[in-house]
Amino acid sequence: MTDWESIVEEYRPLVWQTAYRVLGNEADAADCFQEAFISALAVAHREQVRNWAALLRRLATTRALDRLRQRRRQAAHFDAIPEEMPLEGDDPEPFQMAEAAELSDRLRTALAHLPEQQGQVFCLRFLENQSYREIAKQLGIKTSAVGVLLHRARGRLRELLNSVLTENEV
Amino acid sequence: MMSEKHNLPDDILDQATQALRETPIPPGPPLEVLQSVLDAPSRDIDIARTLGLRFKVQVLKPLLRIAAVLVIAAGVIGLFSLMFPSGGNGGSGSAFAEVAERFLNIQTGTYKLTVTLPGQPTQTCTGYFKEPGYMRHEININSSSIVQLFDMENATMVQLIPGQNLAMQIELQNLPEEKRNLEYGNPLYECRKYIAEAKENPHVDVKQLADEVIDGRPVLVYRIKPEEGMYFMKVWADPATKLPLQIEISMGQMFGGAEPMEILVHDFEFNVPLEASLFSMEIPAGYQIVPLQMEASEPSEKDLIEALRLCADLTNGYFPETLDIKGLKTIFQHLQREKVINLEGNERPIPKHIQKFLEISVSIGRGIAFVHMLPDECDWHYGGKGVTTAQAATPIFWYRPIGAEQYRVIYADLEIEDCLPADLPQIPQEAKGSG
Repeated sequence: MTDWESIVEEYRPLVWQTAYRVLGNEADAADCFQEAFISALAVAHREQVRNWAALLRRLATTRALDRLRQRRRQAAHFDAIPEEMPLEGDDPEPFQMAEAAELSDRLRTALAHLPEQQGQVFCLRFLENQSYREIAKQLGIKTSAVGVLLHRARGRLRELLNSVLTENEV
Repeated sequence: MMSEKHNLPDDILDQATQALRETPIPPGPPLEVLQSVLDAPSRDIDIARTLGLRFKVQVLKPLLRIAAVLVIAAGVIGLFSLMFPSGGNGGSGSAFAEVAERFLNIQTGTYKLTVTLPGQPTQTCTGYFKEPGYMRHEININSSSIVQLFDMENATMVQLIPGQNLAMQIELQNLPEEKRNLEYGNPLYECRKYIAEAKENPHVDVKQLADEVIDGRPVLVYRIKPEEGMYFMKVWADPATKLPLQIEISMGQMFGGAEPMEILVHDFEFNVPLEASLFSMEIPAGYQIVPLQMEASEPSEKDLIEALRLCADLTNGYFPETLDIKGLKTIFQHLQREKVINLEGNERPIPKHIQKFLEISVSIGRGIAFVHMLPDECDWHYGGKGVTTAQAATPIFWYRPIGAEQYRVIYADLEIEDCLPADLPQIPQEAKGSG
C-alpha cells in the first residue's frame, strides 16, 4: 500500500476542513476525521485507490453528514432551525460574522434533514466545488442523477431554511 | 467597512451556503487524533472498534434494512403459500470494486428470485426492475399466479391475482422521505447498496473465495459478511463482464431453528429494454379491489407490544412460541383451524379474509422486524413460549436499547419496566436471544 504517513500528511487539511465545515465543532470534526481515514484505509486494503483526495473528501462528507443526523436524532428535544435573531451593535464586522455563523448553523440543521444521497451531492457540489462528473463517479450514479438530486436538495433546503420548525416537525 | 466576503447573496440558501463555505476553520485535528490515524495500519480494525456503538450501528444499518425488506418480500411470498396450499398444507482487490461498480450502474434488468424458507417449499419468482424504483415480481404458487408491482416514488404496491380477478392495493403509510424512490421494498436495490457499502466498511468482511464453475465456465466468487449479525451474502460474478451472475443472501434467526432462510437472485439479464406497461400500477378492468394501508415507518418497541398483544388475542391469550416467521406461521395455522380466516380449500378466498390476513401479517411482521433489527449489543431474549397474558408477572421479552444502561423488560400483561442488568430475569431454557 502507498505510504500511509504521506497520505495522512498530504490530505489531513482537506479532511479536517471538510469535516469541520459541515459539523462546526472540533470534537465532532475530530471523530469524523478519524472515521474518514479509517474507512479509507479499509478501502485501500481491498482495492487500489487511484484518487485519495476524492475518496477522502467523499468519506469525510458522508461521515460528517452521518454525524449531523446523529446529533439531530440524539437531541432530547428537536432543536428548531434557529430563527434569525436581531443582533445589536455598532460594528458591522462582528454583526456580519455573527449573522454568517447563524446562517451556517441553520444550514447544518437543515442538512441533517436531507436524505443521505441528497446531502452528499449538495455538500460535494457546493461546499467542495466538485463537478457533476466527479460527484457521479464518486457516488456511482449517473451525471444526470446528480442534477436531479441537487435540484431536490436545494428545494428542500430552501423550504427548511424558510420555515421555523417546531419540536414535532419532520 | 463591510468586507467583501460578507456580501451575502439575496437567496437565503445561497447566503447560508456561502456562509458555511466560508466558515473559519481552526487548526486541527488534535495531535492525539492525528497520531491515532497515523498508527491505524498497525492497529487497523481495533481503532475502528473504538469509534463507538454509533459507528457500528451506522455500518449495520444497511444489513438491518435488508433484513426488514426481505421479511416483507420473502415473507409475502412464503405466506402466500399458506393462502394457496396444495394437499391441504399450508479485501479481495480491485476486482470486487469493479463488480460492485458495474452492478450499481445498471438501469434495467430481469432476474429470478428463489426463496427457501425452512419448512416451506422453495418458491421462485421472475423479477423485473427499472430505475428509479420500479419493480415487478411474477410468482406462481400451486398453479395460482400473482403479480406484485412496486412504485416506490408514490409509495404504492399492487398485488394482482389474475386467476381470481382480485387486486390488493397497498398504500404505504408514513414511509420515511429518505426511503422513497429507490430503497424501500426493493430487495435488488438493497443488494446493490449493501455491495456498495461493503467496499468501504471496515466492519464488513469481503473475501474472494476460490473460483467456481457455473455452466462450464469459471466464475469469481466473493463472500460478504458483517462482523456482527446473522446474514451473509455471496456474489458470483462473470470474470469477463464483471457483472454478477447470481447473489445469495443467507439469514439465520429470522425463521428460527438452525436452518437459514436463503434468497438466491439469479439468471440476471442487465440493461435490457423493458416496456413501461410492465410496471403499470393500473388495475385491470373487472378486478375486485382489496385496499390495504400498510405502516412503513421504522418498527419500534410499540410495534412489538402490539404484535404480542395481537398474537395473544388471536390464540386465546397465548404468546407465540418463537419471535420469527415460524411463530407467525403457527398463528395462521391456528386461525385456519379456528376458521377465523378461511383461505384453504377449493373456494375462492374471501376478500375480507385476505384483507384481515394481510393486516395481521403486517402488524405482527413489524413486531418481528423490530426484534430482528436490534443489533447484538441489545442482547434481546424471548421467553413467551407457553406463557399466557394471565401470568402478569412473567417476563416474556427483554432487551437493552442502544446506548442504554438499563434493560427494558416486557411482562406477560404487556407492561414494561426498566431493569438493571443485575436484576434481569433468569433466562428460561426456551428463551431465544441474540447474545
